[in-house]
Amino acid sequence: MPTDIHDHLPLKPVDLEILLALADKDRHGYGLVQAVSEHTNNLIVLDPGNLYRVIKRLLESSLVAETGRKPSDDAAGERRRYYGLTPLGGRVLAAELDRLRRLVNATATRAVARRLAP
Amino acid sequence: MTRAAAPRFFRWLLALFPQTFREVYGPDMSDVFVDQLRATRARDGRAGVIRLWLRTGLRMSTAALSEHRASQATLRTRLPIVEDLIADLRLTRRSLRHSPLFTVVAVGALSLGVGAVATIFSSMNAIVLRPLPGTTDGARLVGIDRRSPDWSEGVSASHNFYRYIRDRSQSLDAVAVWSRVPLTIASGSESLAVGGNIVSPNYFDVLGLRPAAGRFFAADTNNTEPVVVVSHRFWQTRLNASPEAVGQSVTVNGRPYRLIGVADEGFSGVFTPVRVDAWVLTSAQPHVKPSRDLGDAPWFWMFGRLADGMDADRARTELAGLTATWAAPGGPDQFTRYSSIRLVPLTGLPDDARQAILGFGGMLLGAAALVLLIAGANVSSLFAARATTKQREMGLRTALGARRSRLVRQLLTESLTVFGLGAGGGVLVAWAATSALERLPIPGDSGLFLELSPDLRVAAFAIFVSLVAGLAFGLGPALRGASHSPGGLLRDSSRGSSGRRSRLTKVLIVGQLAGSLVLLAVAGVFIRALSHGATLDVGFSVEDVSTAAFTTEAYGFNESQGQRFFTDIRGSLERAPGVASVSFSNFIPLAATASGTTVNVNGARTSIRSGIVDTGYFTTLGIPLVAGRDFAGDDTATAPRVAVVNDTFAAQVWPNSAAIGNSFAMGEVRVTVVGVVRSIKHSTLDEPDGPFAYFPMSQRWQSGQTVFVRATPGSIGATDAIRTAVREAALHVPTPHVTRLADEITVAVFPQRVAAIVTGVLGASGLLLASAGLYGVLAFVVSTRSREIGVRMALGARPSDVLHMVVGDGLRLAGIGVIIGLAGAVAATRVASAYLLGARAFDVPTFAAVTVILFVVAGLASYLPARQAASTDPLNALRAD
Repeated sequence: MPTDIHDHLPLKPVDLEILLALADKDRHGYGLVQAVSEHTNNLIVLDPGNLYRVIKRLLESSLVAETGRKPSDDAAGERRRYYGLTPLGGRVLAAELDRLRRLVNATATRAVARRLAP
Repeated sequence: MTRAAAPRFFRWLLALFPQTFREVYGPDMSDVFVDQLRATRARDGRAGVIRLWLRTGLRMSTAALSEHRASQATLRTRLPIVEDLIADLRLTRRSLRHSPLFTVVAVGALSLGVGAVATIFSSMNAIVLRPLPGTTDGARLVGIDRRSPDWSEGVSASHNFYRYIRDRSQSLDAVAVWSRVPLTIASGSESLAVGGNIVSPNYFDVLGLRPAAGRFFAADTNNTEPVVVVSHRFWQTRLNASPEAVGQSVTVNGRPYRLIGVADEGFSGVFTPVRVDAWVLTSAQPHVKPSRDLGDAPWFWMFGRLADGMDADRARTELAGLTATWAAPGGPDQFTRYSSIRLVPLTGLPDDARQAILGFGGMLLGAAALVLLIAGANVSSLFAARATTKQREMGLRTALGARRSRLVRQLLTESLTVFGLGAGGGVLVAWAATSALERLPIPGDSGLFLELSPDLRVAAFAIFVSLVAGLAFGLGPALRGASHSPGGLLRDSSRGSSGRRSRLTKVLIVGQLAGSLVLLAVAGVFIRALSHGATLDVGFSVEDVSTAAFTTEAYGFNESQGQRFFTDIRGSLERAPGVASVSFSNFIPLAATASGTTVNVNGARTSIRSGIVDTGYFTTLGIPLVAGRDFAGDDTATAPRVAVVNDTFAAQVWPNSAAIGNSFAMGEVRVTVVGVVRSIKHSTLDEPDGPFAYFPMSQRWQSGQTVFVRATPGSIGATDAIRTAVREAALHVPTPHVTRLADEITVAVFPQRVAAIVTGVLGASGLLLASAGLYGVLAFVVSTRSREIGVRMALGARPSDVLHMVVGDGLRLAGIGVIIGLAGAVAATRVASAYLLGARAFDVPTFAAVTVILFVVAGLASYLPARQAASTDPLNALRAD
């Protein structure tokens, strides 16, 4: 597995959303679906199949790790598998956000945005 | 849609994923989906749930494909065919997304069609096709019927015959027997009447069932303590699913039994529609069924499990040989006529009922298939219309170098996807429709219940049907869609509709209209049959008569206690206000409970049916006495044996003399006829009258009797009087379930009612599809003819002329559809005529009515596009292009 964070950049939009959702706390599968759709104003509503394909990919590249099974508060105490950000995942997320920030703030980008603005 | 069913459909989607992926993430994916379902239902209701299903189904299948590809990519090179498929699916998804109306209409129509077929198939599957639920390797279980050599008549197995077969058969691993026995189980202060089975100790093991709690009978072969196993349902509803209840003592028929186990959830005995809540051992027979024995009395159903490597034919040959020896004259058995064996699959119904339901279900399946054809034709014309609008795209792609096979494949992928979604929708429709059918009240106190919901087999069937329909109806438009020379198409896109294509579309519409007319006509004759059935003279009067069934053996009574019980009830009912007359019998007319027997008159054997009745029976049911007398108090057990026969019996046996005073033989007993009554209907409304003999209860006492109480007209009915009488006679007897005789006998028209409802719904669906199709075609025609219409109006045609022209087009199509449909309806109703209770299959008023309905609907469907055409502004129409 590559440990250099730049090997992981740029992140796919869905991967970025998942990492963002895990940044503030550990979540289980459905928690991730909810967080992502809230955060994107229902632009991205994940189905279980694609959700776990992404999770599998993020697990394999060690950006995300399982943080154990806990009773969830919303599903009558059923035990769910929770996921959290790994230290590497945190660093990659930070680097990606930094990359995006610099992209958005770049002078050329701003000029384009001004020109296209309604 | 219930919570429990959702994951099952979802599991089928999971099955598409690679196994390793499924094993790791499957359960979590189910959890997520269940949560999504719950949230969507709360937020967007049913429509949202359907959208979620469709979206999830589509996305999960592509996700599964991609995951397969990803796992393959690590192993070997990618397969081009999979690559193309994924690309096609992506294109399909995009293209369907861009025309949501088309997608919704097409998928909706197919869901209806596939749903109709899957609903009927699911019901038949549940009743007659699938092995018993809960059993292990149920396909190797066989029912063993002892029959006469030509299989026309049968006899139940005696316990001795069972032991004989069990000890000698090599072809069967094991053999078990069971019989029905009504039981009363007391828990606390409450007594409860339940359907019970009395079974051999190996019963559950031969079926391969596992207990939900406790254990089964295997260890009790030599145990003297009476034991009982209860159903999962009983354990849950009556014992609060308490694990402590297992091992406790419960009172069965007045005596303590140890409750040793709970049967598997969903298991309800070998005949699934009959609710069974408790099982006791054959060793309990002297207590729960003292009127029978474990010797030569034939009262058991027998089944076995085929030995490894043994097929049913070889087993049958062996068992038939054994039976011939057993039944040989001078042998151990008195039923020498029944020297053969028939083996039937053990699927939850006696074989005769199974055959009848297969025939009846086959007819309904044909009706459902017609709806699917209509839906397929409908979608086919949608695809054709769509192909017209996509000609430009196809032409462009051909011009850019796409091979024709590639285009056909993409178009076919698109139609198969739509049909695949239709299959998914169809399973959902079937799921909803079967749960509606399950709730259809089954008449009478029959203790019947049905579990019809679809299983994996139904889903596979729906997908298969859908794919076949997709190929049949999708291939044509796909081939034509891809068969254009690029040059012509790019040059002229606006006048793309060729005459040939619109002619084909019209043929499809006429077919749909004709198909719906056939369905409506069949539904119409079934409704006629129902009302006809209500007017048939059954020969007795059902108004004001209430009934309730009792089994004194189930209350722990011996014969004299039982007799006293019935005498007490009778006395107290006769004193009750509002009661005109009271009697008892061991059967209910038209509820299919009378038994058959053979009598010997002057040396000639005659098959008759018979029943046992108490005094006053004919008065209570209003059956006129034609000659002689009713039974009386002096027809006691020691007096000469007497009978009352119906007029058919009398006319058939003694055509030239009076029946009164003549006699016939039943076995060793001579019976003298003392009365003749009018014939009544006993099992079906349209049966020919057959010979029937009534015997007095006082000479052949029965522990199972039904009370009949005729209330004086205008009184409040006899329910309370019956309950009070029972409470006064014996406190611990469960409160009887009192029904009106009128309700009991509606079981005789139950198949007609089911057929009327099912074909009615199918006919309405067909008409809906056909009229939507007609509307679509006319709207399309109007849009392509807008130029012509504009010219006409510019030349002075009034809007009403245009209206007439377009509506006339629609009605002309409907007219052709009606002519073809009527011909089809004549043929179809003839197939149904076996179930019409003597109502005419070719019924002019019915046919006229459905024709009018079809024309009205077709007129409406034409009116909407016609109005649009009539409002055409000639200037705009001419200026376009």
